[in-house]
Amino acid sequence: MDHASLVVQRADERRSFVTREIAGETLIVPVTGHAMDLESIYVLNPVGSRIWQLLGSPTTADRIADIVADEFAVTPQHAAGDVAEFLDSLNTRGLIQEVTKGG
Amino acid sequence: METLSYGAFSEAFQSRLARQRLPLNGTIEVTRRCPLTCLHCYNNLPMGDGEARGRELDYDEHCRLLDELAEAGCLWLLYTGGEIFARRDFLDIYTYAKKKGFLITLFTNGTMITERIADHLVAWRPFAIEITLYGLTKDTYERLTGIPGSFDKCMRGIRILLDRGLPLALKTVAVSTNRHEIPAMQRFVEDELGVRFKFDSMINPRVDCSQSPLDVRLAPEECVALDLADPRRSDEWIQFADAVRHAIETKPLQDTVYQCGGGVTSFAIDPYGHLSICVLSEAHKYDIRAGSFRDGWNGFLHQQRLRTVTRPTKCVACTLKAVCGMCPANGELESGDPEAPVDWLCHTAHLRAMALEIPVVPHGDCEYCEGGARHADVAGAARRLRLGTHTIEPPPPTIAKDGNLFLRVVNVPASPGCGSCGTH
Repeated sequence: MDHASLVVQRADERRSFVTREIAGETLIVPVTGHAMDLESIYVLNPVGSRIWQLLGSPTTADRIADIVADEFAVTPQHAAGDVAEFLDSLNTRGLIQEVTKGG
Repeated sequence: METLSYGAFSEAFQSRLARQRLPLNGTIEVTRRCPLTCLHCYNNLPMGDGEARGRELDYDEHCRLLDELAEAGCLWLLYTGGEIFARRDFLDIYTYAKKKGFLITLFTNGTMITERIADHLVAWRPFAIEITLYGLTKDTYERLTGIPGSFDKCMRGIRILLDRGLPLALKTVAVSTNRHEIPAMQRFVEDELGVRFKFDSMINPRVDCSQSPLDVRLAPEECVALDLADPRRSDEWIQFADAVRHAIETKPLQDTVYQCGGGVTSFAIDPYGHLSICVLSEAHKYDIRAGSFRDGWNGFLHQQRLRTVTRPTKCVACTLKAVCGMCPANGELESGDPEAPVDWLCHTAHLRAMALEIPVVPHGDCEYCEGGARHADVAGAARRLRLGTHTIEPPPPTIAKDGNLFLRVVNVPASPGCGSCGTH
């Protein structure tokens, strides 16, 4: 997933995973076997947690990178690279989906 | 995205949150009713116990509880019984818990597992399932469970789960009825079934004060002989004992009655909605039906955890805590006194330490330590165990005069109770 302007959001949470916030830590816990590796638990760092929060509604990698650069005091280029890598890894695990028109 | 093993994640996660008092680990007994009548069990009730069934939290109460637990930060949840599948609505409760994002472990005897249940667990995969295998042979298994046909049902349940690749581990409780089969049981489970196996020799009196499980508790020599028969288990005891002794020797002595994670990171809830430090802790409970989990955790359980010792027993400074099962709940169940040393535990811990050549540091007026009245006996037994002259024999036949092998009366105290629950 290397299209910076592609509109994406979290995959259908009701079917496959639950996000748990425990004492400031964000965990993604698989629930059913539809989309994810059930043997894994995903632990997000503060930047990952913020991106995951932004993915709660449709957005693009460009928009996410702008916000990350602003909030975490990194260069836009650095943010864009990290966001692209993170989204790629979420996509590989079925945790995000492309939002189509009307969807 | 970094990949960690589960063990590394768990250790790092709990370590990061260690300074906070969070109810990360919960145990919920959904029922104490069970189709088996095992003599060693600390809490089983008959399946048809309508009074017990009527008092159990219902489905809606379980859902409300799970909502509260998720909000409070609980992550690991253990469902146990009795037998969890004795409740017809257990899968509904379980599925609700899964949807809340808990990492769920199931303890079951396996005899009520059906293909329908297993298929549901495939769709809603648990973190772990543990089945207790009470014997390697039908005869031994059913002598302990008291129920004809239960062995075949258990083995069928195991096969159904394994066929579906579910995360199953097997374990047993080592008692006089099955001690001669423990090593073979381990080989069968690990080599033939290919799953993890562990056993525990710790037997408690029942939570209703009955001392009847102690009838099948192993003698200390039998416990330690089983340890020595398994080099891996012996090594684990030695390493654990080293780590705990180092921690005890390098930190100031704690003056709290409880020294475990109970009330700090863990809790238990019985089938009737009572919150406590652990499943064995019957003396002090908080009724969440009359309040809330949060109130119970923040108020009642916190106060329980802060209770301080009233007197210096030989357990306070003992460095053998790693090889001993002594805890306040055991003290309460054995004698009604959370601080009173339990002789069987103390005897077993010292024998284990001497047999495995774990240093025994003097810790007060202890009859098993050097200079104590029973030290020579224990040291002699340890020597014999190290030399391998202790053998594990099958128990003598116990067929009653009327020939009824399965006649069992449960929940009737075999000896006077401890009085800790206030009803006996």
